[in-house]
Amino acid sequence: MDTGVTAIRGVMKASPQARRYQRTIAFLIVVIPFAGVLAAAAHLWGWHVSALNLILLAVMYTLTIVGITAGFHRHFTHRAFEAAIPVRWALGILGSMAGQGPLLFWVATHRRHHAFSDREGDPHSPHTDGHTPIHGIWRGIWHAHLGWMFSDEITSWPHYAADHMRDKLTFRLNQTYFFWLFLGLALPAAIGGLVTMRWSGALSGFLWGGLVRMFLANHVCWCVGSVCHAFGTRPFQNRDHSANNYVVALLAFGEGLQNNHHAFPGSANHRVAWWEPDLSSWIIHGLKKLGLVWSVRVPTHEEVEEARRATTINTPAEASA
Amino acid sequence: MNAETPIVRAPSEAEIRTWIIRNVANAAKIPEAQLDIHTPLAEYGLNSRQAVGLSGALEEWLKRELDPTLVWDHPSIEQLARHLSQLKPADA
Repeated sequence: MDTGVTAIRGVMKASPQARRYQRTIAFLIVVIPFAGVLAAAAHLWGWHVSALNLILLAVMYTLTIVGITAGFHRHFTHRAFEAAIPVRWALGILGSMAGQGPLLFWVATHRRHHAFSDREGDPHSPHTDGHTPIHGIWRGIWHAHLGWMFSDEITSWPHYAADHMRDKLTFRLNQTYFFWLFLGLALPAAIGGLVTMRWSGALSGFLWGGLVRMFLANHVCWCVGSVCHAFGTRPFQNRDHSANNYVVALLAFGEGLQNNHHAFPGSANHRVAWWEPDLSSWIIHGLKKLGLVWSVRVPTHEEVEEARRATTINTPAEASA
Repeated sequence: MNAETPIVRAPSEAEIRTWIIRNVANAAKIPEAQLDIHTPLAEYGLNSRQAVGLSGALEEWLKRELDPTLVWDHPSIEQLARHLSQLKPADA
């Protein structure tokens, strides 16, 4: 909801109440998992981390990153593939468990990122906010990583995500967001407790599969907006600062190939070669083999080569400027 | 009155207004008496998720399809109630 207009299409000034709500949620989502990491570190110091805790961490990390990358991002935001209803639910639930905001918020924010891409209006670009000579790029990196969540702007849902507001399934996923978020914390706690039959097992399951997992997964995803718009290679000229960073790509299941993605935003693949790290694309193609997803959009070999050619022609002029 | 007249009549503008006030007061945790029907709902701290939730709840109550962008198009209680009371039975 909005009260004031801004100069940017589809972006509103938040009312004081809306701003307080937005900042409280952002504060909790940044600070609570961090506190969990500190608690887990103390836990690690005192006893030892069990194999079960590491398994819970790895499984929950994998599931929620798949929910965000294949689900929230490639399916819901970019509509890069169609999916069977149970798959849509599963991806939407796993993405909600990540704690990056309700589906409509995520879709609207990300479409706005592509609409403005490192220009005024991009909700999280390291190049548009706080560029002072004193702090240099790091101030922008901080803003693009997590500072942007504390902004006093509201991204309009009807402007950026009207299609999903009218989709009953995404609407329901959006309205039940907090239920799935808490389930994603309760599940590893319950498994930890049931396997060990101890309350301490439930607590450590909650810490490792819940909070530590959320801390790692969210910071990795935020790196896509911060690191991958600053550090990496740029095989395609996109008129923005998007870059391919293979470390982030490995950790974020392909999303670190941000330069490829901004060249082909509608593609279900973030890799343009088979060997580039993009686990989510393989999962999507695996689901296609099982008949659970279809209409998987990827650029043809010719389209990729054409974009490469355009880049080599334009780059020298750009570099001398 | 002929036999085809529906038995259940549509709620009046005043009834819709009362319903919206009750639901907004509940969602925004503000006493009903403090709500002004001319003020945009966002100023009561109603966030986007609550705004789409309100149109969903109105759909259930009025038993008809409504546009989920309703609260953005008609941002105050008065505008919302007037719009809903003027909808023709078949309108979406």
